[in-house]
Amino acid sequence: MITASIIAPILRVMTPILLCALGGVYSERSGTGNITYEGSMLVGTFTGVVGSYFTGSALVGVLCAVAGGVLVNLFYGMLRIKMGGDNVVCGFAVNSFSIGVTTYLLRTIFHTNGTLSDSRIQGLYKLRIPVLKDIPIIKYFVTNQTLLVYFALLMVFVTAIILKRTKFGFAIRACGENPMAAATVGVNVNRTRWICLVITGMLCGLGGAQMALGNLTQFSEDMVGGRGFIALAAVILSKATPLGVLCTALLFGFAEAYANLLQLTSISSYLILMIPYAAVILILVLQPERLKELKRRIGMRRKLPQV
Amino acid sequence: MTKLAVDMQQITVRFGKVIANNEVDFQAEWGEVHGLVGENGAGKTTLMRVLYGMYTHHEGTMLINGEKVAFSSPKDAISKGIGMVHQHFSLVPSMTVAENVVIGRPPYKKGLIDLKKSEQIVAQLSAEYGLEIDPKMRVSDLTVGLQQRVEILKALYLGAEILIMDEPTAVLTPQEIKQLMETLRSLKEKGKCIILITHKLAEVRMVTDRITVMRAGVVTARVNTADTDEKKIAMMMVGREVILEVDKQPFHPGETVLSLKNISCFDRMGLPAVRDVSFDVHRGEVVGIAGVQGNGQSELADAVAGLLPLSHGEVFLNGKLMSGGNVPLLCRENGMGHIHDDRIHVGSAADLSIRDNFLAAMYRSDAVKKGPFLDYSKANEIVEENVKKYKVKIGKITDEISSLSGGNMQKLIIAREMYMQPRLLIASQPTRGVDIGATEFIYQQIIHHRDQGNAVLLISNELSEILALSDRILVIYKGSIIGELDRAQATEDKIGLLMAGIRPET
Repeated sequence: MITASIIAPILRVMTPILLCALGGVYSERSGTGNITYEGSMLVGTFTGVVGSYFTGSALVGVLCAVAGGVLVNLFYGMLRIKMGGDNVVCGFAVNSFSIGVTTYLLRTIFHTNGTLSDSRIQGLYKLRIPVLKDIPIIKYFVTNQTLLVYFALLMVFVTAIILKRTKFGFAIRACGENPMAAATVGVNVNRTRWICLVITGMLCGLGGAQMALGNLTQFSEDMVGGRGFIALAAVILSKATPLGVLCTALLFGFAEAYANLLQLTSISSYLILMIPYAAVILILVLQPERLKELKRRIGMRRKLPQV
Repeated sequence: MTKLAVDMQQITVRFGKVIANNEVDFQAEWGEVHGLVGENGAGKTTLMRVLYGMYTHHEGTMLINGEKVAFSSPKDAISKGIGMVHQHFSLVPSMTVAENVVIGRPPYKKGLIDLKKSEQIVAQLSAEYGLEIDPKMRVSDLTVGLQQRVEILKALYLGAEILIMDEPTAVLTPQEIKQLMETLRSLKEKGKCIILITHKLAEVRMVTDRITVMRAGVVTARVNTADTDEKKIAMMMVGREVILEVDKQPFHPGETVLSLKNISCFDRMGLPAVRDVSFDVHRGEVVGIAGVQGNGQSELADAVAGLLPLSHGEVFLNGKLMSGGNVPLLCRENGMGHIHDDRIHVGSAADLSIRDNFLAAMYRSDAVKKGPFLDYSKANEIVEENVKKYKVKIGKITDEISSLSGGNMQKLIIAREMYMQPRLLIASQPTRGVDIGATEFIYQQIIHHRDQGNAVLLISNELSEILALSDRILVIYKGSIIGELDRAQATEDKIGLLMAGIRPET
């Protein structure tokens, strides 16, 4: 059933995935092979909470989250671009490291296991837009959302314009598809990739801030719980196009919102929490390209046409 | 006196201990197509990369239009009006033609790239130089010939007055080559200086005004094209006389080795590629399949070798039906050798050593086994011996095969296939991308194999190759065999008409 209780949270739960996947678009299109979104977002949630906890300011928290995301990506860049490591090995190393380091710091700084929840953590301000909140259906989407939700939606279009209509965007695409093409017209391939990694880190950090300071106001170990990988799936699935990322993120947001709703029923909550991830697998299997391929194979068996 | 477009003096380039260019002088004038010819590894591309600012560690001086220059990157070269079209294109596949052309210096409107203007610019350029193309097409949807056109437009957009073309015809079909030659001529008439790097003699004769010949890093000759002929150029390139007409023993075909009965198959995209083809190949004969690239000849070779599934028909090798689970293995066990036209991806395994690539066709044979294990000392011996016999220039047999030049890699593959003494040898584009010295050697090997009483199925886009080697010629057009000619009746004209799909009246 699609009701207010499912519509209202879609945007909220979609935003971290969308921010993260938009960041991923830059990494993916510039050919960095980056798969550290999960780690970047997780560190972002942690540094965001820490920043907010010690200063009592949500804004500082957000800035700290951004810094945390960027740090993780710089670390990945060191391994990958500077030292020439394999992207999957380096990426997994960074992701594992992120889980380890956040858990360790949580226990040493705050002396708690599992979850850090404290009144000193300042959450993000939630907007109520005067006119929109009175329109039916729309009001479910827009009430009580953080600024980051609107920022994420705005970034979809900004990213699309950057990729399509700026020299920087051209450089990114050239670096990703044919680095030779970029180099021969004077683009510094490595520098472009570094910049893209920083952007990815910033957006993943913002995604983390939305999770830990927007949707909740707490940090818990491994709280990202695979949303970074869902974002990665969204990037790959949409061939790293901003609008495609928006659509897939919406889909995953819907799956997660639905799962949250079903949790209230008697079905095992573990089964229900699998829904977003099962959706990823299902969508990956049912990619249009793959369906085309299947059709083609069946077509091979048809009778030989005459000349 | 008019100024020279390019004047390179005493250029020396070293890579470690290897001297790629040794005190090379090179001059080219405005309004000419200048051929820079030589075998693979002679140093042509190196010299041009110096001119294009890609190599900067050279000695010697360069003058462009009489002005002394020192480049630190291709950017500097571009600003002096030099453009280069590389062998491997530097295009972005997902971008449109227009975006690719303007990528180095896009036009702006209100801070954003003006896509409409870009398209106009490209349309204008393409009209001006007769390089017809749709600016809105995505590069990934273009044929190789059109992609090259985009590369040329890109160089022209950046203001190229001196255009370097690095082996531009290696990837083109004969029709595309013709069009390219037209383009080069019209650019020349507009006063530009074209430098054409190539080792194909027919092109040199067709389009160049003057040539500089290089061999082993030095210039061996500078001549006007009109004063020379292909034979002389070949001699200057190789350093000795080259004989591409091979002597063969009289034609006495024996019993049937390969028999194709109404075979059809689809290509890898699922489109019909080979349609209802039947013919036999006998002992002691070379059957040549002529045709314009893309008419199903690669798929025909793969179908015969069991690499593509047949949708119809049967293949018999030595009277035995080739079908079942592992057809390629069955073919090999029944005496088939296959020189594949894609030597990089199918004919060899790039990451494996020269030795392992050689063993790939024979590792099952008892000759290199000790119990269940490979006998490496014996294998090494065999590989060393064959590398020597086939004059493959290598470092160590444990080096990766990708360290070899195209010609040497092909020689190694031929050595491997010949070692098994195949009753049927499929040679698909055996000399594609191979220099003229190695071509001569490969021709001799193929004829030698035939003279020993084996069957050869030769597939080639090069008409001269078909005519030089074949006893019988079949012409393939849109997947069907459209005509058959004995060598004695075959002429270039007759085959050419069939290749274009035109059947003779009678």
